[in-house]
Amino acid sequence: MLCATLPSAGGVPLVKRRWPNVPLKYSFRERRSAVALVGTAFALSERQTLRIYEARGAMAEQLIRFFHGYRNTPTPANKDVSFVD
Amino acid sequence: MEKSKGQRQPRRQIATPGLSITFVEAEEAEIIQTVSEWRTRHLLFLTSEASHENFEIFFFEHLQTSKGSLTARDIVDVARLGHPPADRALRHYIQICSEARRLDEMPTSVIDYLMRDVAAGAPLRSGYPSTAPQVANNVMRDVAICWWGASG
Repeated sequence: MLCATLPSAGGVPLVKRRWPNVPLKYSFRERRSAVALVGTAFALSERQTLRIYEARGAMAEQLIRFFHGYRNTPTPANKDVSFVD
Repeated sequence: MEKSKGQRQPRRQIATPGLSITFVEAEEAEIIQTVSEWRTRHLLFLTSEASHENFEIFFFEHLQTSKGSLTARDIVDVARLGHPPADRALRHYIQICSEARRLDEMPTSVIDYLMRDVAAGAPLRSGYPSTAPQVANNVMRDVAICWWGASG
C-alpha cells in the first residue's frame, strides 16, 4: 500500500541496480556501502540507515504495535479548539 | 612527524585493486547526487504529513470495503487511542455516509464512535508529539530508503 504511492525507486534498491559493484550494507576499506551513501543523501548516519534497512521486514509489525499500543494523549498543542461556541 | 600517545592520525587510504581512489570518490559523489536529486523530486511524498495522509487513506479504504483482517472496530479502537489518521478517516467516512443518507448502513462500532467521540469534540490535529515513537512519522522516508516504488 505505502510502496505504491512512491512513483519510482530512490533508496538502496536504486543504488544497487545502477551501481551493482557498490557493497550493500557494510562499508569496506575506503569503499562506502549503498546504505551509507543513501544515508548521506537522506541526512542520516550510516548506522541509522542500516538500522532502518535491516528492520524493513518488521516495519508492518512495528506500525501495528504502534497503532495498537501507543496512546497519543491530546495536549493543548496537538488538539484543535472545539468548533462549538 | 612523531605520533604522540593518544593522538589520532588520519586513516591511511588503501587503493582498491583495479580502481583508483579518485574514481571511487567520483562514483560515490555521483551516487549521493543521484539519490539527493531523487529525494528532492519526491520530497512531498516523504514528509511526516504524507505518512499520516497515507494512513488516513488506508483506514478510509478499509472502512469502505471492509476487506481484510482490519475491521471497523479495530479502526475505532485505534482512533480512541488518539491516533489522528484513524480519527480523520472515521470522520471522513461518517461524512460520506451522512451525505449519502446511509448512516444506518455503517458498522455499529462506527455509529458508537459518531455518538460518543465525534459529537464530543473536534478532530485531533495531525501529527504526534516529539516524545512519541517516530515510526508513523518516518514511515514514508523509511519505505523510500528500503523499497522499490510502483514503477521500479
